[in-house]
Amino acid sequence: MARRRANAGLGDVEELGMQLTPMIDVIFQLLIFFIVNIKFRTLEGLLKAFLPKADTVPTRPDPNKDQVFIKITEASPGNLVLLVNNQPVGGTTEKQKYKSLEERLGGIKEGFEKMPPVIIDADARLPYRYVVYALNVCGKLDLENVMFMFPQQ
Amino acid sequence: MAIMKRPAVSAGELGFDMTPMIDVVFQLIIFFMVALSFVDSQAAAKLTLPVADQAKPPEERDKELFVFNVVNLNARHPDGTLVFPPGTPPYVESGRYLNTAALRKELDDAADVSRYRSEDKKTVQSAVIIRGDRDAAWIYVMAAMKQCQEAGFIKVYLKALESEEPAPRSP
Repeated sequence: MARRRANAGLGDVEELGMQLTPMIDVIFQLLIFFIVNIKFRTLEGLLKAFLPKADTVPTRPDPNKDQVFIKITEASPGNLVLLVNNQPVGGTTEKQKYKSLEERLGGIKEGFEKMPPVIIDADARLPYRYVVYALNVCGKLDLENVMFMFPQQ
Repeated sequence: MAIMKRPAVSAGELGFDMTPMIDVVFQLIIFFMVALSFVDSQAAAKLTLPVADQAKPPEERDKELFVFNVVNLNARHPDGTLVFPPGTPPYVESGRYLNTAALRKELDDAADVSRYRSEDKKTVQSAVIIRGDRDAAWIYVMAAMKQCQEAGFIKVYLKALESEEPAPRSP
């Protein structure tokens, strides 16, 4: 198709020296291949997960140490509750709750020269995203010392 | 458009000059080649990552990676049937479904390879990337992290989307 039409337009091919039509055909094929195959990179990134040493995995909060204890639980299915040192954070939607978690942690961070370890305790059956959001908040505040408590089954 | 029109005037003499068109087409090809990303074979299709704006692009130096997925076993099709039949293990690695013990075996093998390749034959330099579904139960991710730690991995990362995809799944 392309060849015949292009030739008709070119008139005398001899004079041109080089036959461009097949190359253009191939290039169009390539172009179509790449257009069809394209799947734009989804912006996937990595969050650092904190692995405590095996013997320091806390199983419950230690009241004698400076610790920031984040409890993630649900009052009823879908009703997320975030507690920082047993004090619930404000907000009605998920987003607001994590926003006020960020504010609360930021306030705590300012009160200390060196931020005490943050321990995240999430219920076993909760969706994993709740923990990722909490980790995200910790990342935003540059908290380096974060631990996970093993959920009670 | 302008290119297409202009030759019509001088068509009798020359045919038309294809050089600019070829230039443009080459540009297009290069653009699509660069933008093309082939589907990651390690990724599981039935997975929606959580969104975390603090997620950083992977570092170049972590070349050896052990990637596995944690699926949401309670996921349901729109008609209410379970996506995964009851009893499906929660971990997927290279298309295979693994339970905790099988995952541990894979992690141990990967850690051994990494130890063997390291200079002092002791440190595990490979990193583990956990791709968890946003609705997967936390216990499975936590259990997997524990296995990574016991297998000797030091670097463990959680994969997340840096921003919500254009067509997010309804929560």
